[in-house]
Amino acid sequence: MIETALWGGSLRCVQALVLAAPTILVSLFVTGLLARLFGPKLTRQLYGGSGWRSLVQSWTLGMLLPGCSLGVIPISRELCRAGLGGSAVLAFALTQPLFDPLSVLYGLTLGKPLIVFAFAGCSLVLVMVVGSLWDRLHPDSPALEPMPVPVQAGWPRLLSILLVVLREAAGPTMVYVGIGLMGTALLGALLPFGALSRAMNGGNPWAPWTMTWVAIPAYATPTLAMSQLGSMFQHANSAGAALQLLTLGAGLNLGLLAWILATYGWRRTLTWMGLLLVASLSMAYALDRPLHPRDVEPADHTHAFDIYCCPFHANETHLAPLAQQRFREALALPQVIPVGILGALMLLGAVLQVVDPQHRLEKWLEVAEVSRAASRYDVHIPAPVVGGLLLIGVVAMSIVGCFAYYPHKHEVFQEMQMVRAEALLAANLMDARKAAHYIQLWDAWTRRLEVGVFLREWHLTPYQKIKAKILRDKLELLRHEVESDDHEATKIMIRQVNDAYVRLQKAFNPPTPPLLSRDE
Amino acid sequence: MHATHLTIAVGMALAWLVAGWGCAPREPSGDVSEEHGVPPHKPADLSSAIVQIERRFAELVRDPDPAGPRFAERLQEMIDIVRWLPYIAGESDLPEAQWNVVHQASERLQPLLQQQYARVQRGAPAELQSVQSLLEATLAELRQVASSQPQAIDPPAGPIPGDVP
Repeated sequence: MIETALWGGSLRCVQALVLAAPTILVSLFVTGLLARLFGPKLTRQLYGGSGWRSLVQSWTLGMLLPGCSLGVIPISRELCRAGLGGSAVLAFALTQPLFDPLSVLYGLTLGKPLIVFAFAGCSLVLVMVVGSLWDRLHPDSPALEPMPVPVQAGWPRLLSILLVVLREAAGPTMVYVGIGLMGTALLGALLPFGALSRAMNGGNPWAPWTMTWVAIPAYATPTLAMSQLGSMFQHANSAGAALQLLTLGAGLNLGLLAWILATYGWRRTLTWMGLLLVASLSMAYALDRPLHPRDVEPADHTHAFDIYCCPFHANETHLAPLAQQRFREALALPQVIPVGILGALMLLGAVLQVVDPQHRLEKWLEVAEVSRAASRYDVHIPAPVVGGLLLIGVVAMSIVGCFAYYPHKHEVFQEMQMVRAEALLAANLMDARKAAHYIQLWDAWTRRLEVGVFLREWHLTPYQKIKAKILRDKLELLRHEVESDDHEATKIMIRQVNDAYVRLQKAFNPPTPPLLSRDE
Repeated sequence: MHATHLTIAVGMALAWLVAGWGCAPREPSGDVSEEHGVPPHKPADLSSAIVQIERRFAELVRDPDPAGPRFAERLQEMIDIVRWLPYIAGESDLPEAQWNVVHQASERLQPLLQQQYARVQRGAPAELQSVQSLLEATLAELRQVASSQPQAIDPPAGPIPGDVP
């Protein structure tokens, strides 16, 4: 029992770290930009200073920048240092992790894409209500640390940005990230396998309430939360619980809460949490019925939330080898690369902290005058312009990244062909765990196919949509048949899945990719 | 950051988890791999769906109590079948042009039947005669599509991995 909890919690923690590492890296970079290129005054202007405007501006910037609830911690710390009002910082902290271009595009493949925009609107109302009430109750927000002074353009400025990144990577930010990951680990250790499979069913009045308590310690990237929303609406789960999953699951985690507590103290944190819980739960219960999908057959259970529970059955016989295999899968290339880079930054930051705890290097850069030979091409670009361009670049890169994440349909079918082979082979051999893994991948590829086609052709026919939906439904039924160890029903479902896949190929009309052997 | 703040933060994080723990079920609440429920009135294919709609509509027209709860229930079932038409047709090898006919038929009929359902819900008797001519024309269209439907699908894009003939 304890062994299962330990393995389960550790695996969930590692999986969350792998998911979070890319956005933490982006956020550390954005923190460096804000600190060294924008400065406090411009940062405050960028985020609207204080009052209603700051809430709306923070919400808008939060929507545009790619991130997650762990990655938002260093940026929020920087906004605090810049003297931004507490409610605006918290509005940004809560909404930046909700959406990014990848997840919004993913949301467009849901049965009702308007839900995504409705939920975005709900998050705006939430931060406006909570923020303005919080401002009224606690009008003064402390600016905690002095901001660094500007550094001369050129390599000193670039080095100063790198130093901010290194100090953050080895500083308190990572302690909060660790606390956030612990929340996921604790959920994975304490919630038994499949414990949430029926907890969010539509019509269950406790679903939004239960989701609230699960979502706060849980860590979810925007794309993960969006895929879970898709699954919830596909299964006609509670719409209120879906809203809580997005606002609190993607928006909050224990690390972010710990930072808020350490920054604003007990009274302010409790006020904010109280307001947030009351407002979000009220909104969730108010929208539960109106947003419930009436044209969907309610499912008896869902696997969407298995990722927040222990990944192993309590009576698993070969726990250690199975867990080691799952660790190897989680830490496979290329997803482990950002974790490696983050680890390297932390190590370098720790060395810097030991060698220069008094920040002498930064002080030297701030006063250093580097003489340069004048050149007509060596144009002096003010720091805020460079910062603004880089910030636009981050947003642009995340949009460009969409084309890589949602590739051309020919590439998708090549990938699906391999996943199909693995999934159907595993199902034929009644290997439930492997089948579930590849079925999940196959399901995700069907959505990436839809988004990829939409991105490139700006059009997706209802025929293509229904073929993709039918394949996903069949895949889920196949997963259930394999899990229930019913050989005959599994054979039938394998045939149906294969037929649905052929029809999907025809609907998207690509030339059939050549079959690859398993060795390839 | 003060060390006490960090201690408080960690303490609060743990307290949060413990406080919320009672809300989550401790054991899986039954057989996780139970089949998704398929409604008993869901037809197997397009031809059966057309027959079902025709038969159910005739029964509803003959119903002596077109405002009663039983009538409403059966009308709702018929609306379900009309709504499922694109999905059911999508499970066959129907080409896109013909599938679009089914899709449009479903989109056309649904609001009309929903209007009648809303009348019944308000306590007023349904006026199915107003829908009859459109329904019959649509069903004739659908029958034509169903009769042209390929009987078997083409061979799949390769052997099924691990499949033993």
